[in-house]
Amino acid sequence: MDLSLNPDLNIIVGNNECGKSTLLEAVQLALSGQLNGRPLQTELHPFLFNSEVVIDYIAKLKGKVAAPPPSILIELYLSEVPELAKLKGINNTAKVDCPGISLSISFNEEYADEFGKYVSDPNLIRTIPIEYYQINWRSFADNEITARSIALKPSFIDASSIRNNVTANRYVVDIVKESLSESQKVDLALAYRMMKDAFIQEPKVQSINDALAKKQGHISDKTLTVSLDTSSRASWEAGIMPHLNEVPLTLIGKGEQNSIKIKLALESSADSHVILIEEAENHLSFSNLNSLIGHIGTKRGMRQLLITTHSSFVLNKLGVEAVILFNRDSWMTLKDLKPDTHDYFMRLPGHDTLRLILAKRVILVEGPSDELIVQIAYKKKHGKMPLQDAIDVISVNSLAFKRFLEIAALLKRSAAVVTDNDGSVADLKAKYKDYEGTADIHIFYDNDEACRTLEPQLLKANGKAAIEKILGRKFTTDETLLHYMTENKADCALAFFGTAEPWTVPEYIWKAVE
Amino acid sequence: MCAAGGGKTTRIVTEALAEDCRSVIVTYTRNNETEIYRKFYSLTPSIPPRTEVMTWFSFLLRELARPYRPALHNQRIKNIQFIEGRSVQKVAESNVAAHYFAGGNLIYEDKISKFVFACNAKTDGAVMRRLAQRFDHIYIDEIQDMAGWDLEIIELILRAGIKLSLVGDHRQATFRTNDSNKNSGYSGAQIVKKFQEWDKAGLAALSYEQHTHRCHQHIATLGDGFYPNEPPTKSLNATITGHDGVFTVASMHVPHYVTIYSPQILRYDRRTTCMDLPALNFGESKGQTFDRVLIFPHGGAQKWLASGHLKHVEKSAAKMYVGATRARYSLAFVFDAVAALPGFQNYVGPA
Repeated sequence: MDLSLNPDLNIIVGNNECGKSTLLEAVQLALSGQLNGRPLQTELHPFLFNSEVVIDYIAKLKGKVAAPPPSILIELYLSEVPELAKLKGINNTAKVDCPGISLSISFNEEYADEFGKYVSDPNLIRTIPIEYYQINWRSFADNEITARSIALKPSFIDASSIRNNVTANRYVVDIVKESLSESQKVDLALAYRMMKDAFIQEPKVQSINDALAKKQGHISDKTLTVSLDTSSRASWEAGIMPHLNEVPLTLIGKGEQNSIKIKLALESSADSHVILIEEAENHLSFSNLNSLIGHIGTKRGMRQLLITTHSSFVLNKLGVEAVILFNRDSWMTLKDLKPDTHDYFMRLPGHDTLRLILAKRVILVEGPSDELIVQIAYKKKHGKMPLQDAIDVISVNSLAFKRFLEIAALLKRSAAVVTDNDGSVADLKAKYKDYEGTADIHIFYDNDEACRTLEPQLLKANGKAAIEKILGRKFTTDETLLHYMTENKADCALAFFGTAEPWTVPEYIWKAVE
Repeated sequence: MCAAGGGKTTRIVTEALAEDCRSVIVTYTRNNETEIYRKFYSLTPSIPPRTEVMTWFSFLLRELARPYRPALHNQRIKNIQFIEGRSVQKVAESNVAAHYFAGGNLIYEDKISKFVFACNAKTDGAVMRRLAQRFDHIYIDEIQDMAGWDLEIIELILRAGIKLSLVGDHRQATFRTNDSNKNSGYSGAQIVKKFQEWDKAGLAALSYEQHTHRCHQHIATLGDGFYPNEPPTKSLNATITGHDGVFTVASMHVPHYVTIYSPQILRYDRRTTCMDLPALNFGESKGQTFDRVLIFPHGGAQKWLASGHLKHVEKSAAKMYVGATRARYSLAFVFDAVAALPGFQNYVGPA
């Protein structure tokens, strides 16, 4: 997968499990050498590898098919700035001459013998033998690198992974630390140690120690006293807790904690050039999210920001143009759309765009009454509402169908269009000829040009009597019924939606939900 | 070009500290590298991050050979293969893997510069373009040690328009970065001819510093004696300690002399035993300064002392020059006769 980022703002949008977090972690890992806040070497485990690749590899071993052991490769291609010239070269898969970082987790050929024995009985193999793997962290100049040698500092804010107060606290202290100057840090460390030293001088503590000293010989031959731990592992980081209005930060609501962390990271010294934020909306109320997003927008400065989100609000507020639609092995931006389609989505509230992106499959319909009929038709067919199967029924102006289909095609999303024939099947055929015979996109309509829209279709499928029962009123002729239905589209659709009476779904809709 | 004790290292370190630009000081041996760090810390509490120090080989490997290696060769260069003499001669350059590499990933010491040169040509100068982005000013210390294709690399840097300061003393050409036959006409003290050519071609400006901050005038003059065609060195060291200049010490007085003056013992190489006193070879002493030096002369040097004829030390002139010019105040030779050279005093031992 090869992803191009915007130089400034990037909003990564995609379904759960589509790899948004993995993307952020990969960037953080390649820039810092750390995973989950620890050196990669200590965090190396078989489940870092793509499970499908692993399953495929093991199947090949069992089938005696030669296959190289799976590997992981992250390459960051960076801008040409003098500070990064040290990282410049052509040691990357694209053979591009630019500064960059390459991190690979791959089989170490020096273990070829041991590995040969290990794979000799493939039936015993369940996972990747990570023990035989090595990590290579190098610049595009092909030299080994350390986090210090990269003139590019990431700030990773992952509110979703805070598991307990200990890690939360360490995390917050780290961020507070980043916003302090070197001399402030030294002052803090010194003050902390002096405070500890002063503790033992306290008369009360002294009298306790005197009393303890008298017990010499009872417990041990040596003198027992109490003091505070002044060894290096008990440094100020472990003993200091950031407070907010005098309340320890870890006792403040998760949402507030989260927003503090993001704000602190944005404020912290210009050292960080890349800010990675995982699901900024976590634990935040709407109004707090609003102010946080405003803050992110204004304080970002020149730094590159990558933010993942599920929130159409975040997306709308930060700008749809920065959106990267992400889906496991593919991605797109709205820039990939035709200019007029792009402009259309730029004007549209982000919500509808996001629905299309987040749904597994979509059914596009022409209006609210079509939406209700399709929803209930689906339930008749499958016994549950479409959303329960991650199918989103989206009501859009029929003129915009093709714009939505353009995104769906780019994302390889399965999409169905349920449309009126408006009295001309030929026109419809011409309009959708690009999608004829495609695997993911299907257009459903009725060939009967006499029944131009939904209401005559419903009448055709059910007849006057059945509809009179559903609507709970009588009509003299089909024409008066149709006139009423057309004038009261929403009420009629709601009646069909809620009725206990039997009725037949028009065939083209039935096929669509099928 | 600078005489021994002329303050080459001090000069480039001071200049690098004063300049607000990204610079690198490159030197040949690890000892020189240590010496440069020591010099830095004698002038400043911390080396600014914009200034880097590296050895010539790590400069070649990390900054020049690796970044564009894929243009010529498909395997990562793990390290340099250090060898005695010359590496494989009969393999054509077109067979890149065998010509330049041992085992495909260790690049031969005498060919790494040639590889860099070829890489730069293949990539239309990308190697030098990167170097120009990387550093505003490159200093190369102990320039006299450069040999073979190294000289071509230096010329590439000059032509790339990167500010380059080369300092050294051709009289101290005791090491060679490699034994390639390329540029063999410029080996040893002859390297100065290359500098004169660059000067003439307008690529560089060659200048001589003829003073020494280190050596007493008699010591400097003795050193000059090994290169009679070079201009004389002027001493700026006027300190008087009561035991100053050039001496002979009879073997029987050595223990007493060592007790009184604690000189650094130097020798040509380890074949000279030096009465089991802890000694340093001339080559290793390069770049270092001692208050007092006592040399145990090897066979050739003994003949030179006895006769005053330079022919006895002609082949070891560079090392003799290095050894002779380490001392600030006194330089003594263990010698049981009268030296046939001017300026010598005889150390009179205890009665």
